[in-house]
Amino acid sequence: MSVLELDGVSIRFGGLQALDHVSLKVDEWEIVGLIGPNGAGKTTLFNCVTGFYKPNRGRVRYRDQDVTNVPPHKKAAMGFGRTFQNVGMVKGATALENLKTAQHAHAGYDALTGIVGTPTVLARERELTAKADAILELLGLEDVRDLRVGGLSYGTLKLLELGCALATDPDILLLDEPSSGMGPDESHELGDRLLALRRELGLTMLLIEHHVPLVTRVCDYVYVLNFGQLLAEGAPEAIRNHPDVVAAYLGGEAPEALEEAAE
Amino acid sequence: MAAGSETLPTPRLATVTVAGMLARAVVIAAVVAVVLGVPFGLGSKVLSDCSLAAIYAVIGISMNILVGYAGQISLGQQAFVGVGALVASNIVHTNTVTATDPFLFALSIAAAVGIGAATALVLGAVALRISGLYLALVTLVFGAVAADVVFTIESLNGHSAGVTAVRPAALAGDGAFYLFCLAAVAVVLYVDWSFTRTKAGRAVNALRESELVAQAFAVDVVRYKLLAFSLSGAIAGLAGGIFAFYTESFSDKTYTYPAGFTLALIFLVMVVIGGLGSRSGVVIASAFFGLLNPILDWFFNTIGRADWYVDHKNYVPGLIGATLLLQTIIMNPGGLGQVVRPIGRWLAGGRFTFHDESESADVGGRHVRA
Repeated sequence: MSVLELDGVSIRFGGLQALDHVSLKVDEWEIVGLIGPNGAGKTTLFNCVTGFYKPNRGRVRYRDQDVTNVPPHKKAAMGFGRTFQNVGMVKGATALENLKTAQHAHAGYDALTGIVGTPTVLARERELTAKADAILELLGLEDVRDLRVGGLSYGTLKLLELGCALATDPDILLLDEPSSGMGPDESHELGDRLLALRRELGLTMLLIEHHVPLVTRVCDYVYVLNFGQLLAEGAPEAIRNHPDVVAAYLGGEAPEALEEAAE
Repeated sequence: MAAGSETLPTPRLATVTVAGMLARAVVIAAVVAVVLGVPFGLGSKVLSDCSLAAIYAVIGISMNILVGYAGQISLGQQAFVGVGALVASNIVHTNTVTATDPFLFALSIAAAVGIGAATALVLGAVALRISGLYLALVTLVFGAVAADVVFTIESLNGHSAGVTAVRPAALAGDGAFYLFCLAAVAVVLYVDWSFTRTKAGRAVNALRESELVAQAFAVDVVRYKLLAFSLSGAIAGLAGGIFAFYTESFSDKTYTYPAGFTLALIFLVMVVIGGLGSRSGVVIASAFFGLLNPILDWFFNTIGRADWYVDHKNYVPGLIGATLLLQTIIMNPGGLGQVVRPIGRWLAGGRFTFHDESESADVGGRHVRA
């Protein structure tokens, strides 16, 4: 049973066929990469998976359950944790508040009980704070706990956003360019982190990534998207030297060029 | 505009010296003295004026939930207040001027809360698909339509002569009624505080900034927008119910054009001046607007220009509101909340500093190498 399975997903925006019959699957414990040039439809695919867009055709299945038309907040509660390309967090709130907001579905009390403020609520709030603190510690972000997110540097934001996605208690993580804004060292560290998360939390991941060394290192399988269609799929090494992929990225240059770019 | 729940850094009361504790106690005692001692010391008229200030504070808090926390601009808040007053006064109305039975009084206040919430829910449902300018327009029209349709129903507004709402015997005195209003402010402040520090407040805060992010955090945006509307409406309805007993009557003229429209503007102006999202700032600014007329009366009497003021009463308060609004928007966008926040932090045990520590950049942190 796959954790996530897309079956012929298509979506059209006016005259643009953003996704054209895309099928892919992510199995339990796998880290799957989704690469492709700008405008290939990678983020659109994420939005179809997480319910922000409704595909015109095709099905999205989560653990054999058809979730094509499930709205995004329900998907998040089901176990779809996602990050955004340009950082999705509450900028005016602190890191701690963001991590607690992200635990919304697992707060363990309903909104009105919260307003009344019963002892259960207070106890649950302490647990939410404790979990938020544990995530901060896991990511080494204790220093920014009480800082407003709007003032943090981009690299910190991307990492904290990963923390927020973890706080939603995901079954599958969908990461949209997690290494953007990071230098080579940090992105290497991020790779270690993603592998550690899989090992320790048993997470399955689908990630959009441009950074080839990171993809090669962490991904078990890679799908390449171009102009809304699947161009190629396979193991990272095979994809890296796939002539169509190289052509899509570099406009018909020799495979060596990609190798150089990857260094 | 700076908004969001007020976040105080972790309290450090443990590190506060005895002198520091004393200083804080003095400040708190001074606030209590101003809120309780001054009105009781100055007598019935001032107590009555301060009751209105407390009612305005309740309205300010209700506006702050909708506009400050949820980011839904409302120009129809006077309609929620109005239906609350209408329902409360009709429940207790009798043809003889006798004190209302306490049970009936409680029932009428509860009904005012309920009808306020229900009315706001209807407006919220209409407003779900729109935001910004269009939302402001829809709420404005909603307030106007409510004024022209609901408040002018002859059988409900006492055939335009007003509906009496006599206070229960225990609250007949201005002092007792003022304490009742203060208790209402305290309850509403608790609800507001409780709201912001639990999941509902966090969800509403998230959806104000970005509905996409809120959804990614599993927040049902529709549900929490409606919650913000109905909570705001419930509190505004409460204010309306209390207001009916404050004036001991309901008059449709308070909520219909032009008075109703002026109220709508004042309510919005007072939360902006108080600072959107800032509980303490909004309470102070709202109380100020509630007291504006008596303050001006007193001021012009004192300088011996009462005659002049009587002739110009129609626009002087508006002019003051407009001036303060401009001052806020241009020079102090965080409103009064921004001004009182250092005091709040200090009272909570932090150092007195104008610099908000949560605004610090994370330079030098070991995770920042990019």
